Amino acid sequence: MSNKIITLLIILITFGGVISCGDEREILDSSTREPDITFAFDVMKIDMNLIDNLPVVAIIRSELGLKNVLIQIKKTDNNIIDYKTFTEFFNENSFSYAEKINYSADYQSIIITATDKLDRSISETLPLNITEVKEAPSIIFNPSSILYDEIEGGEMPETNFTVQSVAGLKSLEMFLVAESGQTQYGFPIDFPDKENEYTFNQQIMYKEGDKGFRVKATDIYGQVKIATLPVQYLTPTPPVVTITEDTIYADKDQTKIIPLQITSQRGIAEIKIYRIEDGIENLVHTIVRDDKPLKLNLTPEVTCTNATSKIKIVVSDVVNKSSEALITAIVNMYFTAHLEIGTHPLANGYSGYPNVYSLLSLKDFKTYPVDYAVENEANASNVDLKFYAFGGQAVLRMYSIDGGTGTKSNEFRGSSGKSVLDMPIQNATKVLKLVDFDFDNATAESITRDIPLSNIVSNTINPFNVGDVLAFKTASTSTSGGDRVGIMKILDNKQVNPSNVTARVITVSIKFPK
Amino acid sequence: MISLKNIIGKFAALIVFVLLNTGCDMPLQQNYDYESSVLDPHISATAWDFLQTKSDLFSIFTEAVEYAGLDNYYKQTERKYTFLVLNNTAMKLYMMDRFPGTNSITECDRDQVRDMLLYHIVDGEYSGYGQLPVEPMFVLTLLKGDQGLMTMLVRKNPWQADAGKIVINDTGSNGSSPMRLATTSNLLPVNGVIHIFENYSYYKK
Repeated sequence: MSNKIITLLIILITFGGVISCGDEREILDSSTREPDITFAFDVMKIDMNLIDNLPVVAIIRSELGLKNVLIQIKKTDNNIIDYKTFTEFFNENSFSYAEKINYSADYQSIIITATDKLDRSISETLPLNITEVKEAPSIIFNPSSILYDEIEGGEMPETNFTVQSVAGLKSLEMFLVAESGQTQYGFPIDFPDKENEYTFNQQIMYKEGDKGFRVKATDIYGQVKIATLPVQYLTPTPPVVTITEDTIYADKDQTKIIPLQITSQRGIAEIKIYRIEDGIENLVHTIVRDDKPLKLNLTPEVTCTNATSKIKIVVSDVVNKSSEALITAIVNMYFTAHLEIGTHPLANGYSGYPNVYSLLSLKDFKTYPVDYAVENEANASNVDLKFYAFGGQAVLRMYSIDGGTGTKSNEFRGSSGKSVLDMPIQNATKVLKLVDFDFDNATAESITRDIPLSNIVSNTINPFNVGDVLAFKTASTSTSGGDRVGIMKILDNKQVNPSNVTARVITVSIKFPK
Repeated sequence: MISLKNIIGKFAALIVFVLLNTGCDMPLQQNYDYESSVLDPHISATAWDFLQTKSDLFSIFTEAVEYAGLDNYYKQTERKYTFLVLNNTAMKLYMMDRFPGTNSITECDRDQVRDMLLYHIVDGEYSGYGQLPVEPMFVLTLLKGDQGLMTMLVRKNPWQADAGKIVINDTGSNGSSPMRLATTSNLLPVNGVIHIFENYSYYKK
């Protein structure tokens, strides 16, 4: 009996356990509320001109639990696009849908359909209010360009332009464009009422150098349009002054005729002639022409003083446009613009660069060979300076004729073993390197006044370079006369013998007051 | 006679069957996210009653709610809301920012105060107990329009000091709205959820 009872208990427990392994089915309560959908907005305003449109936001709730949520887009042609379906939810009782949709202009609404686990569905629609992409402002000038010719004259055309903006204008700026740059015209205009059109019509008095009128329009979306009205303002050329010589030579207080040819498209009104003395312009003549000729040949006379460095001619036309011409004046001075002098290897000439020697005559503004200088006293006294280049760097030096081997006289060799040491007269010319001396505007007066004789005492300048201005004082034995001061500017320095770096030719300009 | 051997054998068979049958349908162990919580977050009172018990902390807020005429939301029990409650520090910051020079909330513009408070009531229950994800999700505040947009999330990383706390408008999730972190989260009154903040929230595009 007990055995049977135990066996029965085992069977009951065994089958009871098996029966209890049945699936647990979810009980779906149909009395729960249907899903509900709430949008964050009643109407979704989308502006396709903006990049920061808000997302579509909706909260979908289901008391029973969501099975799926379908997002659809309805288009203006009533077609419906299945956009997205959700079947998995973090919280099946409340689903937050938020998405920035890539909108199209023909989207009409967003439809959300929520279905719960009892397959009960509900749909809600979010209307879309879409603002389409709007073009940037347009600017139209009428006329499309302005041309004003001073010779023709007449009224300046009015500047007229119209700005149109589909979106609405925010601001407008105008600029006057000239050769010198761009400047704002007037003040920026704001459009608080977002006007769609603005018209400008005004006579702007353009002037010479103006190139255009620029307009910058900005709409409410920040779209910018810039347009420029081309402006051409034609002016006649200023008078043209033609001189026959760019340098005049005169003695002290000598009156010189200065031939001038003048032409003007508008008529010559006035000619002014200045004498530049020590850098100061002194008016010496004013010629007024009431007949306003278009062409004129003049031969005004100008008295050149010892301080005159230049003559300046200024010609004005009837609208006060002017031109000027400058003439260099060499008054009471010997002058050479370019003179070539050789260094010591060219002392007696160099076949590769003929007719240039290293001994300079200040009387003749000419160079001579050693053979010439050693020939007799007259020749010897006619050379004043010798030029030298030292070592591998070819450092330029200037020496007087005297000084013996101390001024390298033995290296200035002639034929038959002779050198400068053998010259019967050796001029003791003195030299000085000047600092900040204006060679180009130097006059006989300024040289005499500004370079004291007592300062020129050396027989050597070591070194000198291109651009330097050097003063010299002649020796009493020189054919150019004793104790006369002149200046020399070094213009160029070049090697003339490829195999000898010290064989060089130096180009100088010399002013030597009489 | 039943032998002891038989009895032992039958009991062994019984145990084997029991183990086999009770083992069926056992699910595999699931991933588990740790959720920190107070011992008992439930408050057997409405949100309004809770605020009254902490009048030293929420005196300005409750005055503002009454001034704006929104106290019924906190008192009712028919619908669940998530109440983002501002302590006195937050309310003073709000007054200083928006109405400088005022000494009382009743000196401030009523409509503006109302809008601010509507933004701090969220439709529905959103606590850290399975209702909020760790990624920001949009919720609906009672303030309509774009100014009412808000995101919420819950911090779940157990290694972070603020695990379990609620975050409003996590940086970058809702335009340029400033992020706010609850000082106290997930209080569960009978009419919803309360999260407490030390600074006020607002939407910024």
